[in-house]
Amino acid sequence: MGTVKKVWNFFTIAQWEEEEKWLNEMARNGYNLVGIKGFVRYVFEQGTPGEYIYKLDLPDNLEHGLDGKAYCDFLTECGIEVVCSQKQWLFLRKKAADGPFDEAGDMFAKLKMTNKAYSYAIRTLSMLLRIFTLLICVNLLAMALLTSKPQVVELLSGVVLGVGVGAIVTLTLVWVPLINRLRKRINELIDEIAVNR
Amino acid sequence: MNTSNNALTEAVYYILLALITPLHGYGIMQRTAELSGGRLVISAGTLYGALSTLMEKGWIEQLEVVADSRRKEYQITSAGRVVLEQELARLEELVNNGKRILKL
Repeated sequence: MGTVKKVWNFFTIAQWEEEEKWLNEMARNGYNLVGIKGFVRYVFEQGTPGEYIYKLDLPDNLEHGLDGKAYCDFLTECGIEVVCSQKQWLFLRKKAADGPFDEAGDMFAKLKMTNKAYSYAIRTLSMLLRIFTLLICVNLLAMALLTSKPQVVELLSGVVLGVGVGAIVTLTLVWVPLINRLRKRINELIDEIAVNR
Repeated sequence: MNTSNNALTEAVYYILLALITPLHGYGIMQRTAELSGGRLVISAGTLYGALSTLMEKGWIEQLEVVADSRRKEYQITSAGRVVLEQELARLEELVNNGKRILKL
């Protein structure tokens, strides 16, 4: 067991390529990712520089009708270690000496991953929208039922306003740019594949 | 992509070729790399997806799992062989036309 180093960092799903690049840079310098705590705290263990290469993966089990465990077993069989997972993302590593994960510059693999990140972002967005809507509906219903208590109604209308504004702000500042970025990248990759296939 | 006038991807072509003999996942990766002289590296994710797609199409099948082994082995079916032969004919046409027109 080498020395442990913890680093704060944050990547959105649209930045998975940067995140992968960073993890590989760390590994080249002898810091191997062993876990992630609460999305932003990356735990590294000091080891031999260049021993491992890292890759992010987002398996879509629904598409293949197979459960996540079968996929992880398959990866293990292929000499790939599942280091940790965050939501549906898997952080994989393998010994650099066993060769790369895929062909250098495999645009199709990149396109597939970006597309999976894109669908993941859309799914998360639609879930958030449903939660916001539900919150607002519950509040409005409570306001309608509690007309006899003006203070409570006032408080609830504040909540509705807060949730509404919060929803609009996260939507325009976070989700719209994130989804646009992923879509742009998908189009870039499709153009590259059309030329270089 | 499974009709006779459509090309197979390189990965699918080599996976089908590799499965003329039964192999498990890692074996397929090694065999395809060997067949292509180390040029074609199929990622585990791509292979996993390709295997389930090829099984759905009925071009390959999974062999009965031996009790003491958790590894799944795959093998080409007769339908898969037909697809390979059609692809080979298509590739021959490409090569022959190229040679004829370039006078090689």
